[in-house]
Amino acid sequence: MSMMPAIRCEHLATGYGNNILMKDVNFEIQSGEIVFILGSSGCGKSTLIKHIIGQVPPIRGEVYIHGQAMSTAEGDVRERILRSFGMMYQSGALFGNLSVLENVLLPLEEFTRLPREIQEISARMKLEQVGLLDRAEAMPSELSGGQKKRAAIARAMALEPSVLFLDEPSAGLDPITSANIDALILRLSRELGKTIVIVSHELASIEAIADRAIYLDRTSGGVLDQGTPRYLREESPSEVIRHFFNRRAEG
Amino acid sequence: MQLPERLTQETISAFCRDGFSHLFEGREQLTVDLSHVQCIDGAGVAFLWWLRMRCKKQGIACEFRHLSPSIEHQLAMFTQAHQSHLPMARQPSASYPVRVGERVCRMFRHLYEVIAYVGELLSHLATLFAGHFRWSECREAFYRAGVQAVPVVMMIGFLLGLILAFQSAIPLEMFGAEGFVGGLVGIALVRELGLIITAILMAGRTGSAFAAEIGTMKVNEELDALETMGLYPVRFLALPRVLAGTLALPLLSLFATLAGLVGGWLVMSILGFSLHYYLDQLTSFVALGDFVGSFVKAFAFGFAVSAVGCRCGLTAENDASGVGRATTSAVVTGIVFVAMLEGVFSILFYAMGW
Repeated sequence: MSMMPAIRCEHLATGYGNNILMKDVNFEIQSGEIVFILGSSGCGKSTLIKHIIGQVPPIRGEVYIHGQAMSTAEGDVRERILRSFGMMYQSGALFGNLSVLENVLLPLEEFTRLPREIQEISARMKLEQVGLLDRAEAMPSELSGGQKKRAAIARAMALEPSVLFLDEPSAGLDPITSANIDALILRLSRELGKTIVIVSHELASIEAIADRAIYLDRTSGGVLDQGTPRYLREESPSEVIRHFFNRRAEG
Repeated sequence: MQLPERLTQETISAFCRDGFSHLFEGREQLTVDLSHVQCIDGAGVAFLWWLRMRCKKQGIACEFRHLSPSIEHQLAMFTQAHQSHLPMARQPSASYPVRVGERVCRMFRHLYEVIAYVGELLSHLATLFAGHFRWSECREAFYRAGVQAVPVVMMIGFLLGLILAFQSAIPLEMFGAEGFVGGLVGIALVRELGLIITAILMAGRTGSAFAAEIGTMKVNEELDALETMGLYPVRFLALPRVLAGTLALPLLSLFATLAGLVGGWLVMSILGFSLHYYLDQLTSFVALGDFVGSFVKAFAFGFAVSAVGCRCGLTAENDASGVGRATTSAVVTGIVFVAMLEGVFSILFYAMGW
């Protein structure tokens, strides 16, 4: 029982209603791992995340979080699972009527009983970690796309979640900021033992921080191959994946 | 002070609940021992920083023992960033005359923009005949603003006629003039009330929808995309909707008026008058000119309500609450414009002896 995977997908079919994206997805993610989910554009990577965090019920199969089936979890159990998740959405999804600092403070105010001063310091520290402290008082509409993303990462981390889902965290960011975010993710994983699931195509990030990557395939409707970046680049039986890692067009 | 093994949100919440002011009282030095600490999260780091600041403020020497280098690094980084970012000094507010002046300038600029917008709309009307007009979008807008509004408009009109007739029957009965209820209902509905209630309904139902729709498109940068393609949002989005609204309101108002007259007839028949008598009353009190007059007004109201709705959407601010404000302002401004136009038309018709 000690080696219970943090996330396990078993024969999971993903999609909405009649629109089935993936037919049979199977994989495990261990606690403390940094795992990238890859796949061609539109193959349903973001949807898969929505299934894992329980926003969309699975069409078939099941998602297990520390051995607990997500679709049958109810009440307190479900709430405890959800609170152990942090999610950063592609577009940021910041609340437009709150300032950046208030956005990060909101979960702290709602779910912790820390004194106000410490809440605020904690929120400011998160913003400092993503390099946004000087924009703490700004409204989300005044931020650039990359700044919104970083603010969203800060908000996702506010409650010290044990599993962090990041949907395209470094797309559209400059390499330096992107590397800072990679370093931050690495620190969260190595020092605090957080499990981190990332949807991203940034090869540099994958090479730098990924423990493993899972490659989804639209045609077969499942996992094409998974493993360390090095394995996928050099030894994967799938040509598509080797091309992906070597940045080559197919054919 | 000895810190526990785990320094996380839960333990710090519990620690702070027990109170900590005694930590600082009458001390000159605070030594914090972190040798037992094995797990520290963001709240823990925040707590350490807060301890240090608090000590500094009270002039207590604060020393952390066995602090891991990475945490020390985090604290140092935050301190540095915190110091370089001091809250901006507030700009002194302008003096009263300056503020009044700015306000007046803004008003005139606003007026200018409104006139320019109406001009733009009208100038794009030419595309109606150039074959570039988006009829499908106009049809869609007409369906939603007009056809789908028929039930609610007729219901409100019917109730209005009913209430008007009932309430006026009571005082008129005192003078034995309850037979004139029909004439009263007819004049009131045909000349003013049928139209005004429909215009207000349309401001709430359609003006707001236009503002929300176009405002959301603006948030999604769809308006920018149109402009980049060399398309005018006013021609592309506003014109079909304004045309649909302008055509829908006269018809809707007609439906409301007719439904109101049916409501009036219901009351008259309860009071014991025949349908024949009621129609006689109506024709002797209401002239065809009254219908025509309110029909003309209806075009103007329809134009005002839908043009205001579209403009509020086009000028919405770029976030969710901006769209909310645009929608509110579409409804309020639409109703205000209806009231103002009503006044203008009253004077106009009076001068024309209508």
